[in-house]
Amino acid sequence: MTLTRDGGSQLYLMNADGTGLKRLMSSPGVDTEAWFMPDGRSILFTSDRGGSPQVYRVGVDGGAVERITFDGSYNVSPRPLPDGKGMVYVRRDGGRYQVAIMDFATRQTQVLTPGPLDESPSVAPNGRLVLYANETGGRGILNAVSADGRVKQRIVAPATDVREPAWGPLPR
Amino acid sequence: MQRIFAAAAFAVLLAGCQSTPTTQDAAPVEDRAAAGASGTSGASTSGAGTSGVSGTSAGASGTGAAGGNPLKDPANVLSKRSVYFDFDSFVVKDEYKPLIEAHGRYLAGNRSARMTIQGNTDERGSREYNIALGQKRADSVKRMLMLMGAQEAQVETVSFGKEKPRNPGHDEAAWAQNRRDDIVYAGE
Repeated sequence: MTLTRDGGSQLYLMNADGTGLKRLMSSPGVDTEAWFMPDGRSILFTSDRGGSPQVYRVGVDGGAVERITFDGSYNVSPRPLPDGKGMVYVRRDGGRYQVAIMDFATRQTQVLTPGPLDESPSVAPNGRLVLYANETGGRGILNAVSADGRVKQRIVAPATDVREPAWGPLPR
Repeated sequence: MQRIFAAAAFAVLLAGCQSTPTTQDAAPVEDRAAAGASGTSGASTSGAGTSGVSGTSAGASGTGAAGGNPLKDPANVLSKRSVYFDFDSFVVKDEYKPLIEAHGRYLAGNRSARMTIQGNTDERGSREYNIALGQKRADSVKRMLMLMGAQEAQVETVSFGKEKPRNPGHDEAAWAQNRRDDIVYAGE
């Protein structure tokens, strides 16, 4: 989680029962939007330590930090794919905010959505569908796109402002 | 504790004074005596902690204006409360430094004054990252205030990210208004 208790936004780990608060690392910039990779061994997060917001990965032991995104000056909101082989995230390109998917092995990136103000991507447990919010007229409209970018769907919802969509647990 | 009571007592006193501007001049002098000497609380503080902000001495802000709260006087730079930022930036632009310096001097000269700096961003981009950016904007101004003599305990910071835009529009003119820190003094 992100806390600002020490000044600036920094990442902390804590046990689910609230004990064991531990600062993950120190950085001069902003660290935020932390997500565990599916194997629980590393964390994706957004940081501006390099001068612009980019996606980084760090081990849960707080060891070496690896920068993941290099294209462009704004790459945020990482969400790992369920198989751990990549992530979806939000990138800004020429003023458009779009959801993109990256394969970690090849570092290849594919833009999935058109923008101009797309945000908060969330990956389905089967890894094949990505929910996100498209901001229009100040409201977030729920959209879905397939992970290969080929199928797009606006999900009809009542007149609400959709934010941070997330998949519920699979029914058992 | 005594100082808080004294200052709060003074605040209550001044709250009464504000409706009668002619007595305002006398109030600052009274403040010094009251804060220094008075150990008894005639006022109920209710633990609100909003102490001594209103109408403190004109001398502190250096304006020497006769009467009126310098924080609310439109002719006084202290009534200006917003600092605007460039896109993606938390750097305080030169044009806002005089404003921040004035508030810093005010805080340094009025130890019981408290403020909150509210950081904001425009609507574009990650909600969570914008919370962090708004926080950096607020922290930038706080650092400058402390360089001017304000104490840590006098300045709180909070970030609203993009959640509370002042201008609900969706163009650069609106966004420019929303990339902003607002200074709010306790008790306002």
